[in-house]
Amino acid sequence: MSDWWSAMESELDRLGADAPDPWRAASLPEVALTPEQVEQLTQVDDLAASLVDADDFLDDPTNPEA
Amino acid sequence: MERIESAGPPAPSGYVAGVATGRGIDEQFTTAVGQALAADAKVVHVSGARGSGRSWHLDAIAQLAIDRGMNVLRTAGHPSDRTLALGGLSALLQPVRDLLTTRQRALLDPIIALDDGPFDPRAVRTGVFRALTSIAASRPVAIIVDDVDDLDPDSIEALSLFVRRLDADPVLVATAGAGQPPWTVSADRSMPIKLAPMRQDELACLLVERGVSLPSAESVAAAAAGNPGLAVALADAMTEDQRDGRSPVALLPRPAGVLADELHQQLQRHGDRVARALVMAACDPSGDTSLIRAALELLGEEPACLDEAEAAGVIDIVGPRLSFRDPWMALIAPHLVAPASRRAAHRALAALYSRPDDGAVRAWHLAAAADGTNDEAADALALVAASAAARGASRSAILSCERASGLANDPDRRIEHQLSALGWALDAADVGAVRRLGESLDRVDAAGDDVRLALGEVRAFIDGPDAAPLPGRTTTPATAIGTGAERARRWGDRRRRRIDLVESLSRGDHAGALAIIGEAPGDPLGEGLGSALALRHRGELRESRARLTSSPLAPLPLLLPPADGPRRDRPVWGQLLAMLLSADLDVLQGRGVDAVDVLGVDRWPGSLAITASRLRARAALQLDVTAFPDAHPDAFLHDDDGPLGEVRTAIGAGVLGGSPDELLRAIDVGERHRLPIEVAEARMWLATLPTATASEHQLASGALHRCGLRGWRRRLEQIIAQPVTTNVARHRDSAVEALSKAERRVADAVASGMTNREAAASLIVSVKTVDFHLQQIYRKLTIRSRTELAVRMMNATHPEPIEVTHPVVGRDREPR
Repeated sequence: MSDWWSAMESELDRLGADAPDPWRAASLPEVALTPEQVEQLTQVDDLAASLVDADDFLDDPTNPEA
Repeated sequence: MERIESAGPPAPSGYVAGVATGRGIDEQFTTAVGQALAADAKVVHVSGARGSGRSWHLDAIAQLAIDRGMNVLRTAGHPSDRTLALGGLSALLQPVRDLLTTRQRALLDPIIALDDGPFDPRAVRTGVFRALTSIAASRPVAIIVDDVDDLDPDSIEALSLFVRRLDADPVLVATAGAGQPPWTVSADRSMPIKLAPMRQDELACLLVERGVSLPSAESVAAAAAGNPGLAVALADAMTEDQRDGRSPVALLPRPAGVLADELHQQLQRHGDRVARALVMAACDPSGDTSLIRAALELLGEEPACLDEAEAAGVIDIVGPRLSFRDPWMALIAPHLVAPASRRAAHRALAALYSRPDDGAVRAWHLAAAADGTNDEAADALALVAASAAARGASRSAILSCERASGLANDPDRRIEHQLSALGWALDAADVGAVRRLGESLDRVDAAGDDVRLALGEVRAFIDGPDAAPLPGRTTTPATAIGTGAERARRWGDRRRRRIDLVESLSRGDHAGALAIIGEAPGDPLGEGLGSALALRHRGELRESRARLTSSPLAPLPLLLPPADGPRRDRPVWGQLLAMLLSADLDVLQGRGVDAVDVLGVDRWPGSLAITASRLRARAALQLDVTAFPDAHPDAFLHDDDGPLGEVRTAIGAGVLGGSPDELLRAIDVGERHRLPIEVAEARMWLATLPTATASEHQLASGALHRCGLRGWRRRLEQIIAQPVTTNVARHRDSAVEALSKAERRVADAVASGMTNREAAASLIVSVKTVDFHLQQIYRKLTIRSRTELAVRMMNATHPEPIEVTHPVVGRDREPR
């Protein structure tokens, strides 16, 4: 990140630090990922694991086929 | 002793001593450094409003100290780190860690590593005092602290003891801030310097004195907004012609702080209600208006405040989407409220992203809503990262993982996330990310083997296998992983080869693909899968299958083993691809039934699911001669490039659009690029058009026979042999009549009492496709249940069949 951007971000943080705080005490329910959301992300996670397996398989020097 | 220059903000390259001429500050700086070098400690504090050039002056004194041979240790306060205990001290001590005694290191290491554990403030104060004193005893030291007002209180307290006890020590302490210094020292040690922003004419005068022509000096002075250091740096960056006024000065960028301030003030002018609406709008990049209104309501706001923001001219609302007129405003708007409220906005938005496919967005909102570390948000982002990586979205995967690392509470988990991100960055050859993550991992103390191995790979990736260790470290590619150089070379070569191979295959360039494979034997992906695919493109289906079955990536007998099966039993990616190619060969060779068995399994992951559904559609067309191609448009979709992509696009356009010209074009391109399978298929579709001639039937049949495309040949022969009739229900209900053919099939199946899964199996489509069509059907018929659908379909259906004849032989024409 460039110095200019860092300066901008730091200025924004500074502006925010002194800004009004209307929702500080807002009571909102704690949420996490739903089981369905986890399932959908994990389905592809299986795939990622299989990709890792593929790389393990291909890069494993003890693998006679690699 | 080795001299240390801490990695603080870089000194302004254009700074020249004398910037503050007229204020006498440069003389004061020179005096302060000189006295410190003569073992007479000095404590300088530069104060002034933002934009007055505090940081530039601090950089100047730091540069002076470096030039005079002092060790320079730097840190800076930051608003977001005010609550990070000892954060400022950690940055200050980081570069001198190796100079500490074993005992000092034992005490200060937890501070440097920012461990969250409890610490004894008194022990820390004494430890810091002793460490800095012993460093100063070896070589004069300058301690530079910018934005000291934002330094965390624990760091200030620890440094205070050192500063207050300074006496005849070779030490310079220089701080900058808006207000008073955080410590009181005796008047003879203290050197307060107060800055006021220079007026524009003062700045212009300063520049003219430095030889800049007046018009150029005025432009630069306006851009520098009162900051003399910036003005000089900008002036020094000009060409000679610009300095002399012979060339115009380009529009200079405004300093970030000035721009932020201006835009912030503009937004504030619209009042609090609008400001709050803008915060919410800016926190959700989707721009989904109804969702943003709902989030505002959750926080007790009137959703109509969004319309006021539109009336104020900051945002545009078009249909269900809103957007900021000025993208800068979207960047500034979240800062119209304090951080706690901003987090509440993200929490409200997270609560509303509840659909199964909203996981990634919810995870990012949860991360933005986290105050400090939050394992739950970190784990959610790690899932998002893995999912993104699997889709090939490596950049998103890297960013998600890096953010997860920042959120994780446990240091080991933080490292794990960084290692995952690094793996993806290396894989995607993302140089910036590799460098960034490498630097971050290099700061890990007591690094385990995994970190050392990763660092070796980073060095090999960036600097080649002969890379030298980083300053103060001993890790090199070779020492880290033993065979680092070899591994890096192998990795690079294989990756390049695979990219070339995949590109050749996706163009249908079988000769090029086989040449690449021949150059580097031993890669199972290339020798097995790659050559099988190249042979398939070349029209040698038997050889292709033989290569596939003898490959180490041979298709597995079962698509996916049970989830709890042993790790080695899981199919690797290449095996899944091999399975799809095998199914493709099945379809081409007329064994569509076998292919459907494999492709029908509903667990194809990611992008492979799309390929599987396309192959299923092709199988369906072969198995059911009465099926219209436009009921299976998926059969004509593809992701190929080059000539292969051109041929397949033309076939799709020819079949679905009933255009013989497109099919003729497919044949022409396919023949020129030696793609016999696609040419034969194009001939087959041409021969089934209403305008087809007997000669075209013969040509198509011959081409299909030569390539061994039994499935398509069977379809062609059945169509030629007899007109095929299909019982199609007559519609009386105009809404039912308006359903597409595919929707009609789904509606008929579901209305007959089938479940979605059964309907999917019977229509040879995925359950998701059935779900999708059903949604459309419900919408078009304005119904809500399967019972309503059954009644509607029963009423709409006329029992008498009508005859629909497939196109058969047309009038005789010249063969194409």
